[in-house]
Amino acid sequence: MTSLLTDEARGWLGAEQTFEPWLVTRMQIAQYAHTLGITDRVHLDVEEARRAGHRDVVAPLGFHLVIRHAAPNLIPITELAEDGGSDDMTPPSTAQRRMAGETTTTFHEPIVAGDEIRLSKRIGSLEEKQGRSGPLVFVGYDLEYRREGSGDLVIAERYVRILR
Amino acid sequence: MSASTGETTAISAGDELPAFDVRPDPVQLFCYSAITWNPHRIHYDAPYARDVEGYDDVLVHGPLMGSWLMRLCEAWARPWGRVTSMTYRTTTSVHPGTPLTVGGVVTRGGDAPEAEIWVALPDGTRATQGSVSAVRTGGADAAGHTDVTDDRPDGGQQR
Repeated sequence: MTSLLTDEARGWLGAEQTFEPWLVTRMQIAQYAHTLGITDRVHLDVEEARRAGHRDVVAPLGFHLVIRHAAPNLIPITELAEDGGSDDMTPPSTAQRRMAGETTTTFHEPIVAGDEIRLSKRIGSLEEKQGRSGPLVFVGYDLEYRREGSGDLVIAERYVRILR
Repeated sequence: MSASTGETTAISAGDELPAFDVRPDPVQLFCYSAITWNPHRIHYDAPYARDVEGYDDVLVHGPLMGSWLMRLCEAWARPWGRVTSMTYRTTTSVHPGTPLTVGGVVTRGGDAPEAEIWVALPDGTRATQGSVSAVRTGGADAAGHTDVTDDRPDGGQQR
């Protein structure tokens, strides 16, 4: 049976990475809302947001994807791969393709402008299976988004990346 | 809306989520790449996507499909509660210009409802599918919200 993973790659199980706290701004929230066609004023107007009981403009559900995808790419562009991507904690392998698997997200609290959110990422599972077209590797990442200061868990997420 | 006047809206299996149509174009892909700081060529460099990766055109971001589902679920739950968890997976590549329908249907009613959700191609194929769980919180969150999404004359057709 051929394997895509090296012995070194198997040692990546349990690897962790914590990013610098991400300051959420009104501008980022407005950019996200407009890109998605979201028109509720609580995302765009601080007075409307406060009338609805929020501290400041509230991020739409899904805004955490901004942090998740941007944080690993905040590196010098000379360090990006030829395709513009970054390795983003992908264990070394001979795989030709990297695909998105299932994402499961648990929402505990809304993200609000002014929050500093610290994303941490851990490889919680690393499995290789034989598929019809050859070996497949499933890398399971456990992500936590915590509010700086209180340390409160705002969002927990599990994301699977498939290598083939 | 009944929720904003404090009445209880029953959520029943078979209810449809507030579906909307989107047709992603290069402008929206650019904006999504920008806000998520995603420099991956496959989303903006068509010659690269064709000649190196072998696709017909650039690809709609997988996370954008998830973002649409989260927009759907938040619009569904906001009048009476909040979304507690979601699971989704994209299994079909989507190119810009493809008309998509973002929708769902309640699979379990009550105060902790669940729904099946999807992003569908014109032939009904689900490019992305998943599920959502929500919880009723008494509707207090709905009072201050003014969402004009459903008021457009074109019924919500947009990017």
